[in-house]
Amino acid sequence: MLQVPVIIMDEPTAALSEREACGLLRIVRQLRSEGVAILFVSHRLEEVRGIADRITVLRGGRRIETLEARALTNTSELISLMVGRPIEELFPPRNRTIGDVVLSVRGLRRDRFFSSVDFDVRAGEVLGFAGLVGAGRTEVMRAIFGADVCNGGTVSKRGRQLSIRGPRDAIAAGIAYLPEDRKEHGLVLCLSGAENVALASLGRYGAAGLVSWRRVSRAARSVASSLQFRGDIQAPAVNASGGNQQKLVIGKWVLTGSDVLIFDEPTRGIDIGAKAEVYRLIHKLAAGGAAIVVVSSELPELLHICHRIMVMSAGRVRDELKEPEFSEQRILAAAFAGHMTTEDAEPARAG
Amino acid sequence: MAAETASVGSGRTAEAPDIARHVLHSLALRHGREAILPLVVVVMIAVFSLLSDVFLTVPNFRNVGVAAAALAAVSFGQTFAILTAGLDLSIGAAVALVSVTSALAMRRYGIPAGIGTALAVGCLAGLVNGLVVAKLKVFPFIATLATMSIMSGLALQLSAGVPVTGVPDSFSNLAYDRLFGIPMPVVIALLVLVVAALILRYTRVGRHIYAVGGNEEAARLSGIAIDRVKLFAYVLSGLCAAVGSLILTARVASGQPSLGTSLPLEAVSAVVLGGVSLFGGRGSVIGVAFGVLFVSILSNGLNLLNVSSYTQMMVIGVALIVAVAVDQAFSGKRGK
Repeated sequence: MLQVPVIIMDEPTAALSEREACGLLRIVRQLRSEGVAILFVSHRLEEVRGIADRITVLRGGRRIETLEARALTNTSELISLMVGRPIEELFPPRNRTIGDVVLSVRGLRRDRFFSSVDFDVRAGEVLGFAGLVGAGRTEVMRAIFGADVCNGGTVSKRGRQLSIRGPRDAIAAGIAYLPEDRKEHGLVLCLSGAENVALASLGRYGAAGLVSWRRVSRAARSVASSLQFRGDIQAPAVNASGGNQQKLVIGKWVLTGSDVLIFDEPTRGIDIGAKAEVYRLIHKLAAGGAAIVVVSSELPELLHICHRIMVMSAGRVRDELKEPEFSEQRILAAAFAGHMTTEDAEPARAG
Repeated sequence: MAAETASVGSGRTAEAPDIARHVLHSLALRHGREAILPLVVVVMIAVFSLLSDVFLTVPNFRNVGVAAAALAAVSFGQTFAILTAGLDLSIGAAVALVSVTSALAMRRYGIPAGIGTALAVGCLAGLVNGLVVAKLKVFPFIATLATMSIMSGLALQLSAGVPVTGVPDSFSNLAYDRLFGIPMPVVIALLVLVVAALILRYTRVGRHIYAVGGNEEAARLSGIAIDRVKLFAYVLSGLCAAVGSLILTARVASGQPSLGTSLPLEAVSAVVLGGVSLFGGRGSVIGVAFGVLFVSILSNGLNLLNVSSYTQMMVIGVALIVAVAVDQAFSGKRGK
């Protein structure tokens, strides 16, 4: 093997599943034992604590602190340094006014991807979807939104059954879907931030098929300030940072006035400050009476922002936990349930 | 990213050059690509003026204008197709088909019927292209290559392969009439330019064209009916080809089944030279107008210098490759 003295790894695990990441970290440890110095950049803090000897925290382009990994007692200490304020403020308090059922999904099925998916979301509620990559969560959300076809089942809003043949119908029914991959599916990168946020509601900024740029700009500015978008909203979206790009996608759905918002991996690849703002936004929308669904592969995130968590594995919902009974073990057991032999799976489902 | 902002409020004169430099710099960054071509056109005009006595005269510029008008109309139409990340290779054949059908209609039913037929046939041609691309999901390149063959065959069949004569003089005179000293074809081309620019900038469907071309999947997930948007773009392309065809038909005073064979290449060159990305979503018709000027002035200047049309074909080909290479480099840098 080629001997190099230093390897710089920039978010090497960002696109990997948990299992693949473990494999990579094993290789990193082996390289370290062979005398290679490694600079490991990651936003997965547990991973950083697990692998690093020394940890340097940067914020706003400045070095905040360098500490011995052993000296750290918990991750929240690290988060506080990164955010610049205590951890309690990372996750905002949950919205406490829960209303009637807004969205009902019954028997939703897409062959080869998922089947018999049932759930309700209430106004003001944040419902989480946990599971492994490939468990079918994204596919369920895309089917509800009409982005993919489904083979059976019903989606109703406030008791009225919807017939959704495409994203247009879903948007008209007040359902928004923030896709997993913001660059590929969320934004038109060559257009300005303002135009991106106005994209799904362009008909509102002018009559008779015309677009009033004054009204687009006004709407964009107001949503930018309420989302704390930092940067030039008139510049192409490609120039914005990951966190700001995500805010543009959220802003797009805020402007449609949807009262069902589905967030698929809303904080993937964005820095912790922007994460905190996304959480606050989610709860602000919930407090405003929206029904929220959050798909996330980061368990701590789901545990801290959701009222309820559904766990999917191999295309089926395996478990449902209400807030007082949240447990990492139980979620993980359910997440792996679809991958075990039938004898193994039974106790997990019972647990 | 525009992290630095010049402090405009202080008003001290020492800072003025800095601000000016900053503004110029950001203008160059944002519009650098759009500014290259107008500069090239100006340089080209200067060079031809030095090399030829005739070049910088009003009659010659009228010639350039008349020659450029049809290409301009067709190129503005092509812009819509390319902005959706598509392509319309059938415009040359559409021009021929429109020329033949409108001449046939004009001969029997008069000028208004002829013009009506032209616009209807243009729309229909675009509609067919749009349906094949959007509904049948045929690659635009192949789809319009095929419709090019269909339309060309149809034009030859309807005319039996010979020019359709009997176009009224009052129609063919339009090619040489002037409005305030400007040749009528140029006036029409400018009108098409203004309408196209307004559609692309100030209508919802115009903005949807940019969104579909920039990122089709994101556009779909934002509720945009991408099929309808593409259909609209190809219909406009056909309609613009019809306008271009009317200009050419008036100039040759007959319906020509062989008209416009060089238009697909010239129009694509003008559009891409004008800064419209072949990947879709980026560019403007104003830029394309400069692309048309470039192609037309180059051809006129080389004619005046007695450069053979064969050599001109080679020059246009090279220019197209350079323009696409620049587009590729820019798209790569922006991470597409």
